[in-house]
Amino acid sequence: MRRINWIFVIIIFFINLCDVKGFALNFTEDIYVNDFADVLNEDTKNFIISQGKALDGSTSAQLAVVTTKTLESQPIEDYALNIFREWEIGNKEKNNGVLLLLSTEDRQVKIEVGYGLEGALNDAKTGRILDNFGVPYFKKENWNLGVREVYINLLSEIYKEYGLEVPEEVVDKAVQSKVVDENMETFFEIGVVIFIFIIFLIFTKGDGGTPFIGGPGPFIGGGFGGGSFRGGGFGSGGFGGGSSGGGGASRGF
Amino acid sequence: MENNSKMSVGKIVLIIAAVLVVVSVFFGVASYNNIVKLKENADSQSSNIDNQLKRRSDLIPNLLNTVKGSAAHETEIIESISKSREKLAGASTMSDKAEADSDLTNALNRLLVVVENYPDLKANANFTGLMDELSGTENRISVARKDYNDAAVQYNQKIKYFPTLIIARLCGFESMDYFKASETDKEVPDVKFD
Repeated sequence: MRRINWIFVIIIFFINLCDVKGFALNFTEDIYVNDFADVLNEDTKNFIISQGKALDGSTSAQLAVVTTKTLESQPIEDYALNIFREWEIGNKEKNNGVLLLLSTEDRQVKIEVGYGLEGALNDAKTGRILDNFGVPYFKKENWNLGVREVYINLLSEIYKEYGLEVPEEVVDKAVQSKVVDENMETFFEIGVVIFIFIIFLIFTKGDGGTPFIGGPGPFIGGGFGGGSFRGGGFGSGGFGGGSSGGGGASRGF
Repeated sequence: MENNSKMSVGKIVLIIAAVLVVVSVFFGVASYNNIVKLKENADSQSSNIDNQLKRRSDLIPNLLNTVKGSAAHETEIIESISKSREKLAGASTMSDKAEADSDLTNALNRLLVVVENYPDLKANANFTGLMDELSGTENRISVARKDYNDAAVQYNQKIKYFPTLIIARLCGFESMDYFKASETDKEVPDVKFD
């Protein structure tokens, strides 16, 4: 009886030892997008899930997005590395995972690159991608557009690394997402223009003026192709066992 | 009768001795292999640190050339960077390397503060690229350092604790140095906006 007690104590001790290293965050069933800060819309999530799956399918590279409100007062480098190694993003042999980590309250963003993709996505390049496509949007708290733009750029770099064509829908979606967002922002301006146009038509009362009204207006939320299937039970339901040595770049904004 | 029982006692002793020998040989081989495995792991982590340190010092001349282009009269910082680079190149022990590396980090952090006065340099794509590479490498070094220290702890514990201690002593395994610079490394540079 005594001995069994001791064994029990020892086992508990070792479990506790393991627990110290344990990491609280678990990835969601969407794998590629884990919006813990709750700032991304369905469109963005669906885009990332479908593109992430496609990339994983054709290259085995895994490109994941994590948003979090705070970094729990850790340096973003440590936080990203913990997630990366705990989740084992990327293929085990190729270590070709990439993690985009965004903290909305600490206002920092980091691209963490697995060992295997450090050539394609060197630190200078990831820094440039953040500078050009992430930080300008994150500054304005336009999380969706920033994440999408950075994701798209990372996607195309990874496809290039594997000698594959960047799928057209990525490019299309990139253009469209920009158009939609810009339309949202300039909706008022367009409204003003249309209003002036109508006034103009009324005042001129020229022949055949009316057909213009209701013509090619801005398209918003038009049906994009590439239906996403969330939680489709085929995949392994997790990451592939990749690791990272802390490559990549980070920015505050 | 007496003789017979004596024989059997001797036999039992022999058998026990043989079993002990066999067990300890097995144990010895197993723990030797275990120690070697841990040592190799720590060694490969330490060469990983070396690679990153090398990579870092390879980036420095490029950086200094870029800095000299726009901020040539910051001679003090430029010199301290190239000095700590030389120090790093000459370092052979783990602790020397750690110290030289943290000197270099401090010098680079000072440069980052000074750069605020040179908008040209700050906007220079070459410079931002190099600084990204350098800070990425710095981060890799800290990751490699942590991995190495973890591996070295495992190895050192193995060779210091009984019973593997015996094998370690017999085969002359020595404990490994830790890469210690973690505290000073993350210090904010004392040169601020002066």
